[in-house]
Amino acid sequence: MLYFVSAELALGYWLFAFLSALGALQWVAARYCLGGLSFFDQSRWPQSRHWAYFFSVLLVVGSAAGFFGTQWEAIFAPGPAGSELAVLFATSAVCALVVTVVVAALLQRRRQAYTALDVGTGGEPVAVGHATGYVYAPAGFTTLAPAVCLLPAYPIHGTGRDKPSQAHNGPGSTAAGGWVHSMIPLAHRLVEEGVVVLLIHLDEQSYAYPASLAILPAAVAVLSKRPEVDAGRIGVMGEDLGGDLVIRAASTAKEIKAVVALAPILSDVPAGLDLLREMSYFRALRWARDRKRANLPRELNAAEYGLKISPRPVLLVYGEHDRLGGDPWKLLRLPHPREDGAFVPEEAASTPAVGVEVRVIPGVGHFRLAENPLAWQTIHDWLKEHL
Amino acid sequence: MGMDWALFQMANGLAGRSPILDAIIRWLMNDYALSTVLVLVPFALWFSGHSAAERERYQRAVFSTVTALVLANLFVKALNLVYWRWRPFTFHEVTLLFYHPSDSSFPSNAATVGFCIATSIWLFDRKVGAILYVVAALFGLSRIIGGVHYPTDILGGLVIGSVAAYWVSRKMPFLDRLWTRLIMWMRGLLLA
Repeated sequence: MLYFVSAELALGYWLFAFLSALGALQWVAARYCLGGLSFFDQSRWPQSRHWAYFFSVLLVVGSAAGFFGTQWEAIFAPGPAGSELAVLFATSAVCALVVTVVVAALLQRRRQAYTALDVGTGGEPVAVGHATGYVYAPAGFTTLAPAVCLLPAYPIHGTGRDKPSQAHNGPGSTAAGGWVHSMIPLAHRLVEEGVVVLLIHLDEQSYAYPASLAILPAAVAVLSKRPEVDAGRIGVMGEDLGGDLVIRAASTAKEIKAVVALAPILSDVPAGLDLLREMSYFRALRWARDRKRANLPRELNAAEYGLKISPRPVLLVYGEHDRLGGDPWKLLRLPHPREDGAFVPEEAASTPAVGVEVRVIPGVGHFRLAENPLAWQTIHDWLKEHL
Repeated sequence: MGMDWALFQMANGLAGRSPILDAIIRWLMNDYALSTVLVLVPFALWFSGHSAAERERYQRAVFSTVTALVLANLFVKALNLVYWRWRPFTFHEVTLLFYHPSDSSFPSNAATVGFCIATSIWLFDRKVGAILYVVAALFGLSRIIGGVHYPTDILGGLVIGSVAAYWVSRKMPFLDRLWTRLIMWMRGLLLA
């Protein structure tokens, strides 16, 4: 039977342990980039990381000062014994974890906002196999333009990504409300640079295997029939599982000139705390429990099919902090250069060329890659050279 | 015993000389400060690691620590049933910086817990383990200076805690399979 002796002392210790555990979790979240546990915006590292360290130290030191300051006399009288202290610490630690997960999720939800971009032209709806697509052409073209077909990331339930939107015009929107596409900013940039863009809207149903394999050949057929498109310069680009899909589809569709995959998964979807690097706990749970998402990388087997695209060029783009995307070295049949699985831009750049280039964008993770200006520049330069 | 008493007197002689030193010793020896540090570190380690493999190593260390703590405490309880040692202040004139604990002086529970956690973690991570050894040593030393333990009580706690940690981590391979299952299960909940 537990006997706490002094309720005030026991409650004081519980609060001290709770705040210390909260501080410890914030420190760990900052140290190991666990966005799902952090109260601070990871996209603003390293500035907000310093604040996260400061906040965690403040919590531990502040709670210790508060506890010892108020209970100094009481702690030198008989109080809770070892088993009672163990119970107090265990319950406070569990509560700290629950509070951390919930608060971090609420803060992340507040921070998530899609930037709607207007390219000034309405998209032309087209049927692409069993999916829908919208074609966006640069205004006032005089010569035949290259074209790129964009495949979005696999949707996550309840996140607002790739969901209908009432907000804006341009790529990713329709006059009737349309939908938000994870690659809108990139599409905007490509249209500005004179590339015809076909945005394909894929939901969970249209991502089904093997039906999804028919989408890209259909998209290429749509683009090659358009008067403004140079049929010999059609590329494909996909994000997340869309990247896996473009690699797999391009291995058989010879009319595709160049392939860009943004953070393709390539291998098994990671599990556990790694999912909390860029997602809130609840969002990560939805991600982890999606069986179709878990099966698709194995079914598409992009790592195996990637080398069959050769001699056509392939660009793999990853964020430096991406732990959700697969191992590009697996596709290249090379051992990962680092034991901890981290990407290092210099190492990626020095990877022997086999028709597949790997570029790593510093300071970015899995989800924000398609919105990163440096990624846009990298893709644009590469497409200019290869398309 | 003579050596034990002489060392105790030497350490306890530091108490009562300076209010600042006494305050520091009292802060170090109480049941709440360093004991919280000792459990907070494994708690943080559970979520630490740059890769899944590194994190799994830390998580095994945490499981090993908890099991070793249970084993060490059970051993101390059993030992106290057959061997009882009075506290230094019971029959001697000492400078006491703490209240009068009523349990057996040997072995020190604080040292048992401290060195058990330190050794368990040290077997998986030398750097963090070394830091925890320093914390556990300070905890034990402060209890001698504060007048509640003989040096051999701390030594006993060190031996029991360390042996329990070593035993659980190195001599109970069947636990590894249990840890693997538990980690896999917790990974499904995104907690490992």
